[in-house]
Amino acid sequence: MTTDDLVAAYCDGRLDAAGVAELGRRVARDPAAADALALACWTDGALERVLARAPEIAGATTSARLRAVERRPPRVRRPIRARAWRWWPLALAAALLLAVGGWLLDGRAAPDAPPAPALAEGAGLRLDGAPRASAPVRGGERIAAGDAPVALRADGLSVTLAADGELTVAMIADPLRGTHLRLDRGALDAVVDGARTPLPVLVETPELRVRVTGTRFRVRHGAAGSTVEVSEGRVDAAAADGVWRPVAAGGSAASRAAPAPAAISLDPVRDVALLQAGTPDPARGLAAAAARTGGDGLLRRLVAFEAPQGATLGTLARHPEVEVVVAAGPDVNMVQVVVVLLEDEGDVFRGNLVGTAAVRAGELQAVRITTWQGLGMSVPLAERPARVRAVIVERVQSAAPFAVGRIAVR
Amino acid sequence: MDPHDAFLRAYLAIQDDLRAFVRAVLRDRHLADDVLQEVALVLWRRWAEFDPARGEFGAWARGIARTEIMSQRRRQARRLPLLDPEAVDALAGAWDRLGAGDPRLEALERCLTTVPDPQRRLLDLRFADGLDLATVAAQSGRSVEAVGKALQRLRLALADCVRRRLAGTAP
Repeated sequence: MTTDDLVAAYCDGRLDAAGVAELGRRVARDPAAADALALACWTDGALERVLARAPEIAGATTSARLRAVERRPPRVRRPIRARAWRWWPLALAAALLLAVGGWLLDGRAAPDAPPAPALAEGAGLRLDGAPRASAPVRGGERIAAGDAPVALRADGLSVTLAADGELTVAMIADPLRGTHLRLDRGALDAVVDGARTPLPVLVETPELRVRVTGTRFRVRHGAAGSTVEVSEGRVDAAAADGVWRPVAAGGSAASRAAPAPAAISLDPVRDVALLQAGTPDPARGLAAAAARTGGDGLLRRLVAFEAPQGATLGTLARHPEVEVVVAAGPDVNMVQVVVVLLEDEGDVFRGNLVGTAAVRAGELQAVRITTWQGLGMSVPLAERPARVRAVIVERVQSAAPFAVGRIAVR
Repeated sequence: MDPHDAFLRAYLAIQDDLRAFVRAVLRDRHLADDVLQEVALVLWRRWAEFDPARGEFGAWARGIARTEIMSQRRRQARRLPLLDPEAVDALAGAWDRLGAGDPRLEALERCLTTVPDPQRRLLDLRFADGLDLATVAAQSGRSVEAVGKALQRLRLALADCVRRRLAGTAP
């Protein structure tokens, strides 16, 4: 076997143990063989990146051809219950800030912060206390505190969710975007040790984002809006305008609640182009994408939602959740639901993956993707004048059909 | 520049290539992503040690990734045969020589536009859809060996096209 043959078989996963050993020997002693393997491996990785991202749809002019979607009443946010905080007697000040509305910064004295919980070792996020003692927390998990506070701990990060509070863990120690928490209700206190947490921690409410790399702060979210109070260090905070502003120790910031965006619900049969091979739907401007399936019955991408013309990334970003109900037959290995924001850059669309989830074989389940996962350090959506183009459902590892039962953007 | 911002900028620039390197050795996408996460943490912890004067960040990161790969190697080797440490070192050296980066990636994108449709479909099935060779073969009505050969020829053709583009001799 030539080295090229060995390299190709290795890349395709067809090389047995003896073959891998032989390839290893050649690579170790012959720089040309090492070069060939590096080039082939790099090419495979690059092909995945280039071919798997969204521009396949670029050829299609994605004018807003999908029909108008059903409008639902705005989501009603549940008001938080009044609660007395012995160590945070600034509720009144915060309320005043909110009453003025908009974005305000001030230099008030720092509140007395609660004692910092001890930091547990290990990068994984763990729940410490009721309802699950020292249990690992997974990305996408929603944590609700009952009558007592709940602590979340990871290497360099300690978060205490106040009683009656609710948060969603969107992302844990993602190499690219760090850890994202969404405060859905109530208050949380966070201590971030920047020396031990290499990547940013982002705490988000519907109207406020707080980005930290090493500090102690509290975020509160209620019906009227959100506030952040910084005890130590510094955070960057952004309100609806998307502009990051520093808030130093002793300072605070508040952002009033914006009207909740109208929910969008799509009927896949009526609104979505199910792009079966050979039956592209030119009316939806997706012929190019459909043609790429090549008549093999493989549905590669399903454009499920196309935003109205002029919608901005920030518009979808205000919808905190995309729900897709997917039924996968037993012969489907995995259906991957991917929410992609396609940026309009003239004739070229660039895909931004903002959320992904997998459906297991034979299951009917709802996949919820929090769109604000994309609002991290590396994808400052609100700072980019781009347009939302599509939510994409992608199937991988199977040529068998699957059904999409419901898609909702809330 | 803030150290974290500097790190993030440097890391984002090499992350894709680093992932490709880790996957090349471990041959498992999910394990590679797990390892990459650990590597990112180590890179940040040791960020202060990185000296640009002594080499590129990508090479330094691959050296650190190698350590993490080796710790995972034993576990993965039970499922899939892996390269020996000496071969991994040689591969890392070759990666340094390769000069991966944006110009190479852009050249590849341009070269892809010249691939005829039937071959392009093979690439899509294999790399965009992530199908294994047997599935690609079944879907394209060819034997596994034929598909493997076709992909091998495509890799070599694309590599040659990229080389000529980078050298400025491609049309």
